Order: sequence, then C-alpha cells, then structure tokens
Amino acid sequence: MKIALLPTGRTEWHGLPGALKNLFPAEPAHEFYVVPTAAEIRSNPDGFPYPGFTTTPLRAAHETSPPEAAEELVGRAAQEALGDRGVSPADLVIVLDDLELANSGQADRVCRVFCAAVQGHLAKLGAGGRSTRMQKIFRERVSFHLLVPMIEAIFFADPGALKTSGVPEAMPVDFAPTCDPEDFQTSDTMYLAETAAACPCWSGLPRHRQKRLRPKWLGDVDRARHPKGYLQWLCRDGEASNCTRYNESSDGGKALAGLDWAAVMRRPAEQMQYIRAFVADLEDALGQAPITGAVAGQQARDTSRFTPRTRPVLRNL
Amino acid sequence: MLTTMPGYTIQAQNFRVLDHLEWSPGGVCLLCGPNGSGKSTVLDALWFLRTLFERGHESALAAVGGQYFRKLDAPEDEPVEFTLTVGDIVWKLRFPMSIAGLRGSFGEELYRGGELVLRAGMFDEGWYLGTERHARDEVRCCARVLWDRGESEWMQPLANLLSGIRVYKSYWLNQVQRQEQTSARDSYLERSGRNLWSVLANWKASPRHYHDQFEWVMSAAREAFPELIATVEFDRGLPYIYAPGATEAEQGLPPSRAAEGLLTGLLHLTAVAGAKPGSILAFDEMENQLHPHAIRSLLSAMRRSAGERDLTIVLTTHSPVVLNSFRDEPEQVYVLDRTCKTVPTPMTELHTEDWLAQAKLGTLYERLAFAAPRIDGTEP
Repeated sequence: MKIALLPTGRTEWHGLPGALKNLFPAEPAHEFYVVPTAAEIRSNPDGFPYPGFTTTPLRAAHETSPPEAAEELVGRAAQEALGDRGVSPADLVIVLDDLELANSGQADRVCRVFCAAVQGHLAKLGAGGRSTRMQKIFRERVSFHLLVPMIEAIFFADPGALKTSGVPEAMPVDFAPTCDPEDFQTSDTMYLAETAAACPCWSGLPRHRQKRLRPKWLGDVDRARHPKGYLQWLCRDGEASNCTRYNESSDGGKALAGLDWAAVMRRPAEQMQYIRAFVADLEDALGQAPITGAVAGQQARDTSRFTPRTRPVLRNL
Repeated sequence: MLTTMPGYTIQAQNFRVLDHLEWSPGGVCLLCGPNGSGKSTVLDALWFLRTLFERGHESALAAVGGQYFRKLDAPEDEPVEFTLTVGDIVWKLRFPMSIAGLRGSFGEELYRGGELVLRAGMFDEGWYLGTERHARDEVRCCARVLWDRGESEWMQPLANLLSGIRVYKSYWLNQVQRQEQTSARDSYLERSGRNLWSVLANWKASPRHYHDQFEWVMSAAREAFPELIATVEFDRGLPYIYAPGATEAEQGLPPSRAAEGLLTGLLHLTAVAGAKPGSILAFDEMENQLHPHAIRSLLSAMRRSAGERDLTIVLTTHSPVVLNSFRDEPEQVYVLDRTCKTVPTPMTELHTEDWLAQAKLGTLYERLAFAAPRIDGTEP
C-alpha cells in the first residue's frame, strides 16, 4: 500500500518512513513516503516548509475559523489522497501534528479545529460533485494523529533512541520508566536549574541571532515537560551556537528511523495512548498487525479510529 | 464591431534556451517557470517576429540581441526556426546562426491554404514568388515586400497580428519620472514606456477620437491606487498627478514625486488601453513594484479589456499573487519546464483540475509543485 505521511517537523520527515517500514514489514514493502518533497525541504533551509497549527493555544474561535496552518495541512492531504496526472493516489494519508505544550489538555479542541479546517476546505470546493467526492475521500483515506507533546517524547521510551540522538553514555537521564512519555515530566534538578551560563557560545551571539538558535529548554516554556528541551540539554554543548549537539534532522531522524518499537509498545497499557491510536489506525488500514503484535492497551479517544462517531469527517475524527 | 482574430500559433526551434516552442495563447494568460527557463525568451520571439515584419531582419536581430540567438547546444547545422500560423496562412523562417550572429541570408516561406506562395532559401540572395525570381530587398523581409505591393489582401490577418504585437519587458522609469514637454504625435505606448505622458495627454485632449482611453486608464488606476491618484492634468504640456481630494493647482505632483508602483500601473494600463482590437500584448513580470491589491486590480482591468477587445495578454510572473488570480482558470496558465521537449505546457496537462483545486496556485508554486528549478533533495 501507499501511505502518505504529513508531519510538521524535520525529525518525523527524516525518520518516520523508515520507522514505519520496520513496524509494518511486508513483501512487497508498503510505500511510506513523506510530504513535502525533498526539494521543498531543501528550498526551505531555515525551517520546515509549513508550520504545525498547535504551537500557540487554540481557542474556541478557531473551531469555526481554523488557523491557516491547519488549512494548509488539509489541502496537502487532499492532494495526496487524490493523486495527480501520473501520480497514483495514496491509499492512506496521515497528518501528524504535535500536541504542543501550549495546547496541553485540549487535544479534543485541536481535533475539532482540524475537522473545521476539513469542512472549510470542502466548502471552498463548492457544492457539487468535487466536494462530495472529496468528503468521501477524507472520510475513508485521511487520518489526523497527534504526537504528544512532540516526537522526541517517544525517544524516552527507548534508551537506544536516546543514544542515537547523541545523549552521551554516561549521562544520567532522569525519566522514570513508570512515567508516560506522552505525559512527559522530568525532575532532573540540574536541568531545571540550568541557566544560559551553560551556553557561552549562544550567549555571545548578537541578539537577533539568539532567538533563532535558542535551545528549547532556555526558552519561556514549561521546561520540566519539554522532551525536546531536555534532549537538547542532555546533548548540550556550550561551544555550539545553539548550545546542543542534537540535530533534529540527522540525529533525531536517525533515532526515529531505528526506533525500538517493541520497547515503545510494551509500555504499560495506559501509556502512549496517542501512539497506540496511530499504530492501530495503520494496522486497520494495512490489514496487518505490526511486528510487535496487534495493538493492545488503551488508545486515545480523541484520535482512535475505533471511537464511535455519529458524523465522521476523517477516518479517525 | 469587434472582429475576432483567427486562431494563431507561434513555433520556434533552437531559439536561445528554447528547444521547441509551440504556443497558441488567447485571452489573459500566464507563463511561469524557474529563472532561466525561457519566459522572457518567449516574449522576445513575439517581438522579433513583429520587428522583422515591420523593420527588417537587422532591426529584429538588434531588438532581441543577435548574439547567442541560437540555443547553445543545438547542432551547428540546425538553423533557428520560427513559424507563425494565422488561420490558413503559414509564415516560416530559418536563420543560419553562429554564436556571433547571422551567417548568411535567412530562409523564408509563406503558405496560403497549404500552398507555397513565396520561398527564399537560406544563403540564397534571391527569392521566388511562384516561379518568378526576385532579388532580395535590402531591409524588408520577402513577406513584407509582398504585403507592401498591396495586391495580397489575404495577408491581412498575418499583417494585423504582427503589427499588433507589443512587448513590455522593462520600462524606463527614470525617463517616465522626468517632467518633459509632451509631444502631440504619440498615440500608443512605446516599448520603453518613456512616452507615457505624451500618450495620456493626447488621449485626454481628444476623448472621442481615442474612445475615452484616458478616462479608462484613470478609472482603473483609481481602483488600483485609491489613495494616490484621482487624475492627471497637463499644464503647458507638463504632467501633474492629483491625489483624491486635491483641489489646488499646487497640489499636483510631478512624475518624479510619484510612487514607482503608480507609474508602473499607469504604464500597464496605458499599454492595454492603446492596444488595437485583436492585438497581442506581453508584460514581463508585471507584478514588479506593485502591491498585491494593485496587482489584482490591474489584472481585473486587463481581463475586462481583453474580453471586450479580443486582446491576448501574455504575462510572465514569479508572483504567487498573480498566480492566485488564475485559480478559476488554470487552463490559462502555461508552464515552461525544462523536462518537456515542447514548451509551454498548459498547467491542466501537468496536473488534474481536481488536484489543482485543493490549493491556491500561488501556494503550489511556492511549494515547488510546478515550474520549479531542479533541486537536489539532499539537505545541505
């Protein structure tokens, strides 16, 4: 089968197709591919070609007037599901956005906003055949899933992934195995107390460059709950202009591609609910259990394909 | 009454970066492609043919630059070829070119209804009208010589088409900004745009003779630049631009004080207003210096005028704003893609209309979904 993945970050863009190929091995292999194209990625050297829509808190108003970033994702998903001249449509299209800390606790709203973006897109196509056809395509072949709070959380379920990301062997990692990576929390006192003094190179940069290169943990965020911030700090390097050796594309992508899915899926049944919903959706679409066995444990109600819905808009919403 | 031009096709081979051009534009249409793909070259092909017919091959070569006229990787023995088909008239031209320029006399053939009317071979100093041999004219091409005899009424569609081609690539804004005495003779905008004020002054002075073209330009300019212009007045032959609400004579601004975008807009509009019915107008990167509102407004005026007067307006662009305005007519967008042997390719041949309807054309262009440079996908 042909599966289009629409992530909103470079780590997923680089690593997710490989990770899912490992999770769903098949002969012939399923075609997992990412959108945007490699050319578009290269053409946007200073950022991902489009932003996610959960970086700022979503409000009730967004449920009727979704942010442009959500509309962009919907439009791209529609094109992959439709196919084009000489390009066959994807059998399954999965949009993946982070449930950033700014929207922590309101996954239901994030999902409603995405549904509103789909409805808005259909409305723009006008009444008639094209819109009706797209409505059916969205319902049958497009899903929206959440990475909670972001892709780096999953690395804390797999010590091998942390190592591949660049965390030094001897570096103690303060993340209890009993904790849910999707409800990430560290109590690493050194990390929580760290200041910009750990980043002499970054501190020496002119102010206009500091914002772009500031490590996540040094920003105005809930540091204890920020897995990417913690990962950057675990890989900190005061001589690097962004104060870390961790590179989302190369290190993060490699760690994700080589993820130990068994380690992830054997977390306690109530953990990793959003990842379980994602993998279960794939299992259903591909008609094949993942290499780790049929998905067990709890799935997030918001994004599970198997949550009963009276008027579904997508496969899982 | 509006008479519709017969359909026409322009073809070119080995011309500059173009392997093979084949195009039948109509209405307001858009040419897009990455830098260096040949958008401006297509416009040059149009201008070359017009100048050749109007002023001979030396002027034509000079108008588009005779050096590097031939595609660099074209086989040396292959000439640069042009074919213009208008209804049942076919005009073929073959230019034996080296990098430095023309190597000898160019070849020319003219057909009417499939029948050869005149023929001049490459490197031949004479030409044949039927079986009659004639010496070449020093300046004029053979088709022009035949047309000037006044005995070939059937050539009218070809002559009309060629004389109606206007190509605007880059205006000489510094000259437009100068406040110079207007001339009473100019009735249409030159390629450089430097006679803008003379044209507008003459149109304003004789509104009936010039079909209210001045007022059409002002009305469209007011839409595009609502805070900048109400009208242009001429005092002792010198132009002054009046903004809305300006009531005193001294509130008129000389062109040197006008926004460059406003001048560009006036130039575009004057070019369109002055075009005869059935003409082909081309604007290279019309969006330069213009605010998105002005772009959309000017495009709307162009569309209205093209529809009313059977104009073909060719626009080249890199602007997502311009592209977005073609959302409802993707069939009017043509792509110059180096992977295609024959260009330009209609957008609707590259992508399905369903696929295109899912996003704005400008957004797709920005995403490199069409008309994109070839980019290696590896991250730097």
